[in-house]
Amino acid sequence: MSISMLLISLLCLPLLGAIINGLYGKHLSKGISGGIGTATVAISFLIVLTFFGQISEPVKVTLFRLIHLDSFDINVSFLIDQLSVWMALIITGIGTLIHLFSMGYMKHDEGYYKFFTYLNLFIFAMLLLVLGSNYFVLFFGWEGVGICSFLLIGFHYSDPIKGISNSLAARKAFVMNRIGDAGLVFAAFMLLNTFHTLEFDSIAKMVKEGGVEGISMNSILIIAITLCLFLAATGKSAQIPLFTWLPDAMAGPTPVSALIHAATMVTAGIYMVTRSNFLFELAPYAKDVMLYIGVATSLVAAFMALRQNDIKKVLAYSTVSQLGLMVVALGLGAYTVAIFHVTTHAFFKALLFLGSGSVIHGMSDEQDIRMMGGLRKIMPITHLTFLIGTLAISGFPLFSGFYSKDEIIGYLFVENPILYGVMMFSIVLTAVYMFRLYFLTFHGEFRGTEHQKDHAHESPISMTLPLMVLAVLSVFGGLLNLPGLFLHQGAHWLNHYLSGAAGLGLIEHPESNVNTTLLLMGVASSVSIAILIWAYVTYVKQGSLAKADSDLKGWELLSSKKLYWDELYHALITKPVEWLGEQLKQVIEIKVLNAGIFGLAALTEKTGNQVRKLQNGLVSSYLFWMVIGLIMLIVSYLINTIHWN
Amino acid sequence: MGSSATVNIDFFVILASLLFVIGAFGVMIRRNMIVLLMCIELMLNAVNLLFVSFSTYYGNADAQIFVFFIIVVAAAEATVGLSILILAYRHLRSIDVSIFNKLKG
Amino acid sequence: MELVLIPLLLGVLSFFIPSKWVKNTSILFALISLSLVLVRLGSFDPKYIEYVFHTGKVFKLGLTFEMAYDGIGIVMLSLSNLVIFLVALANYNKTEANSPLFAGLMFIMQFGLNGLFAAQDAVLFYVFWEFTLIPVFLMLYWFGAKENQQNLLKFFLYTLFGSLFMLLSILAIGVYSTSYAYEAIQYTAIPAKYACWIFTGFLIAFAVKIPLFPFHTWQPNTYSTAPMAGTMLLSAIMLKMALFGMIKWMIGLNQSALTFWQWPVIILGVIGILYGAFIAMREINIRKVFAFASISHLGLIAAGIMVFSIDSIQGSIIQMINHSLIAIGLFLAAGIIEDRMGTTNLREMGGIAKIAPQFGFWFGVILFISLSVPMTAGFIGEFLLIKAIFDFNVWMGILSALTLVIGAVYMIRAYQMSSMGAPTMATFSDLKWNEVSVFALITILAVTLGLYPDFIFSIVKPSIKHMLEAGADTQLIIK
Repeated sequence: MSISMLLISLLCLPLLGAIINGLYGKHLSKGISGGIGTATVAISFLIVLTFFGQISEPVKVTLFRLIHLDSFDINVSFLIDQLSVWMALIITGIGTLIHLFSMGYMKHDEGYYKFFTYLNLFIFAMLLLVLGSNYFVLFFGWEGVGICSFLLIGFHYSDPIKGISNSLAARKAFVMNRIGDAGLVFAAFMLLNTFHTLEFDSIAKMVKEGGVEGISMNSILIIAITLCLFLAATGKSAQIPLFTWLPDAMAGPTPVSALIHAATMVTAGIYMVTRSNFLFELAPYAKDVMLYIGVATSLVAAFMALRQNDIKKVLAYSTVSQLGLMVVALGLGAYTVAIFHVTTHAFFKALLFLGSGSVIHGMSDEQDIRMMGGLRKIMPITHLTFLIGTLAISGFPLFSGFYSKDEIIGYLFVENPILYGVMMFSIVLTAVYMFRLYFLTFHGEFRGTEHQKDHAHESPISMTLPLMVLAVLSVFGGLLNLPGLFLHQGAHWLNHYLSGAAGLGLIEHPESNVNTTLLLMGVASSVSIAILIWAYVTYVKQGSLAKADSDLKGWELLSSKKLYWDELYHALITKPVEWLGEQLKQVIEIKVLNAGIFGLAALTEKTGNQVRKLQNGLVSSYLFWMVIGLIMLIVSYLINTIHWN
Repeated sequence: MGSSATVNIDFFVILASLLFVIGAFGVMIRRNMIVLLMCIELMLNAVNLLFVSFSTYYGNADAQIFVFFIIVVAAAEATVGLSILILAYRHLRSIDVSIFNKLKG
Repeated sequence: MELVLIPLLLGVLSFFIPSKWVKNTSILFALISLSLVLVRLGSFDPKYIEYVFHTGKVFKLGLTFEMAYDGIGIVMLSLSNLVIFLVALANYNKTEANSPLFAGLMFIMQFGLNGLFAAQDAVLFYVFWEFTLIPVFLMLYWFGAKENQQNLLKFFLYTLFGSLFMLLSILAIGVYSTSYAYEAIQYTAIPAKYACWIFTGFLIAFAVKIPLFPFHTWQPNTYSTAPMAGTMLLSAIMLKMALFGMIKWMIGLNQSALTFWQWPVIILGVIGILYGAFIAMREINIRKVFAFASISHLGLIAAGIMVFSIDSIQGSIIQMINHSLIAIGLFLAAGIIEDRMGTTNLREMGGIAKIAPQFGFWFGVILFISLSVPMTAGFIGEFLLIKAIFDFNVWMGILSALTLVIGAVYMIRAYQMSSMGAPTMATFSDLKWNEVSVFALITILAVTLGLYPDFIFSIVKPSIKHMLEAGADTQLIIK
């Protein structure tokens, strides 16, 4: 089959799955409905694998012309190069596993077929996002994943207790993403006005050749474009200031959190910035902004995660924190490294979320870690895989997270040692809260209700199989980009692979020397081991537990209240906006404009009433007015005829 | 008229104007309906006077024909007016126009 | 000629149809007139002007009776016929649908609309402009909420008042032009110092009808008290008359007033975008939410037209079509809720999607279409319009793009308050076949145009180019 046929089937399969499930899902059995959903994504994965084997040069497939205007054309076209294939591989690969997991997880849900409809739709939109060859098609996917995210966060919108809060969380996510989308739209306007095209490869070529008006190192235009793009990325990839939607998004079912809010959609911002690297390379100022925002986000989110008691909330904040780390990599210009961390993060974070899903499933929908404990005996597979995930994310030596994190902070150390220190602190916090989560959930005594204890069980094979696959990937994923330290031939395989992508040359970085690298690795390893021991002692040996909300003081209170960030936004943005709306409605609309119009009507009526009095029925007064009129006519005639000179 | 001494046309105009103004003021300020009707006659006759004097002044008889029309119309008007007056008097026991205000808005 | 006369005939005929048949016949009639215009659309060549009625003579007082359409005209004609068809379909199981009077008024309105979009003579345009007001007024008076006659009067007088200025302007044009025919006016040189004021009269009439902030106060109350079909007709097609008027009778004739008022109107448009959006965000009457949303959407279109570049006008045309579709969809959804729950108060609703999943689904789809998500016509429209405003002035562009964000807030708020959460009612009968087909048709059209906007662009582009040049030429003659 030709590559364009393959591409079309790759895109259309998930869409087809969504259509079948959406239209006929009600009449299908759960097995078939879920099977269709999973199979379509799995086949897509196989197709992407064939691309992976074939691609050496970027291939562009144009399907049709969308808009034809005098000043520009926009095509629906797709770019198959190393970067997009790699992203598609992650999306469909992890997507398949999560679909499989959902077949077990959502078994008792009445909206089963709807869930698979939305998931398939999401995969379709996400593939559009990464495969699109221009910002316009990227935006199609960008908004599409936003919609699917909205639908899936609010999936249980009619729940008697949580329905309202679920739907509010969905709304919050959509609205905050829309702010970012506006950034992308503006970037597209400026790009169109400057380059008259939105194709990545054409823009890259023009930038490289130079000579485009307004495009030069640190020009205002390029900084505006890149900052707008980054604004979009902060929305999708949950960075300060637009990150607060992601923790709330945990209202969605757990597989959704794993797929959308950990592994794929939230990395769309990272992907988009990587795609636009040729623009960011011209805007060191924008890169600095990214660097600082990344560090700040990472630190803030890690701090917030310390005293969360909802198993998914902890993971959500850790996602924000990890995304911050990726943004740091982007800010350093280490785009391929960012993608490397996207990859490993997709493995272990999906694993962690699915593991937490398995826990929640086994605990009859309990999410509070204060009600858990001792689950390692009841759920051995979940326990083991969760442990692997925890080790991977906290940078335990030789696990995948170790390599990707290490590479980023290695670059950071060369660039800016102070920020390195800050970042290292955030990494320490990551290890602290992850081990806390792990020990409180799986060790110690069972603290849940009797009912939960009787029901607690290991999940079915459809759920544990994805866990095991992801666990293997989480352990060995780091080998994809093994540093040259260990392996001189084929080192940095992923970097070299991705460098073939359109517009994405291999950007050389000041590598620190071998000794520094070793030192940094040693520091990172010893820190994570030390914290493991500390956490073990604290939570297992001393058996300390999460405190009740009322006992929290000082920094613990701050952490559990998320630094009052939501309250701050509520007071600074939501309230004033609502106030303004209310004022406009009550004052301007009713008291000024409406009253003005009715006032005009009343004025007319009053004037009429006054004038009516002239008609008093007295002939003599009529005559009087007539004479007055006559006199005035005569006077005006005289004035007009007499020549004043 | 021929060679007989001609009176300046201005005197006729002034006289007619005076008559007209007297009539108009009478209509405006008097309340007795008979006086009102008389004042209207006065105004009409002021106009008649103007017509006749200008007719003589220009030697054109057209205006005099108009005067006849006006006299006829004035006579008709007086008849109608006086009959209304009688009816009104029967009805309201008064010929004061200030109480004839049933038509006001 | 058939394009204009057949709706009139059908309208008169509708008065005499027994009330038990009338809801079926009105769909049939709407289909007939829709197919008439679609046949013309199919054979239309964008390069030429096609005459509907042609005498080639100038009658007394410089009047002519030419009727013709160019690319924009045929698109608007198709749109108006489509809207009438959708309204007839959406209205099918309302009580008004059984009234021959209602059906008759609807087709008489259709006659007026077709005449208006085809009129090639300023006086004829004005006559049809005022004529369309009569059936809609009667519709609202006889079938609308009885307690709100004051607002109805406000609507009627307000729009009438606006049109008065247009009449004056048309009379003033008559002083300079040999006839009121479109081409004649196009090639008439009007002294620069008068041209601006003459066309300002047009602008006032259009601004009231669009409605542009702050002339909009007739709109929300009228929308919330009118019968459902009346609201649909008003928002889906009557407002488009004004936008069409701006394009054909201002940009195409003489751009001096547009140039003069460009900044103020764009600012008013942008204020309208924000103002409508902010109030929609706080409104709890579902119909008023959509009414203010409509002010917001139309503010964007009006501001876009005022940029009068070729891209912005193409964007505005596609956005007009999109707005007609979503207006029908949204007001249908509001009407369904109102019918089955007896309330328009969002606070009393909740969880409808749970009880009536089909309604929940389609309402959601319409909602996303109205949020202009990619792959719908609205996205293309908003993209081009905001880009045009952005190119005109960066800050105006940024402010108008806030509609993306606030739009999401109020639309999703309306959906969330009405359809999400735990159900507050015991029963809510799900959609009937006609309602599903309206929603489905809207969706299909919006998505088709979203993926293939070139269909519209290729039709309207030559006309827009011609208008832009012709209107600008007149200015050159003056100077």
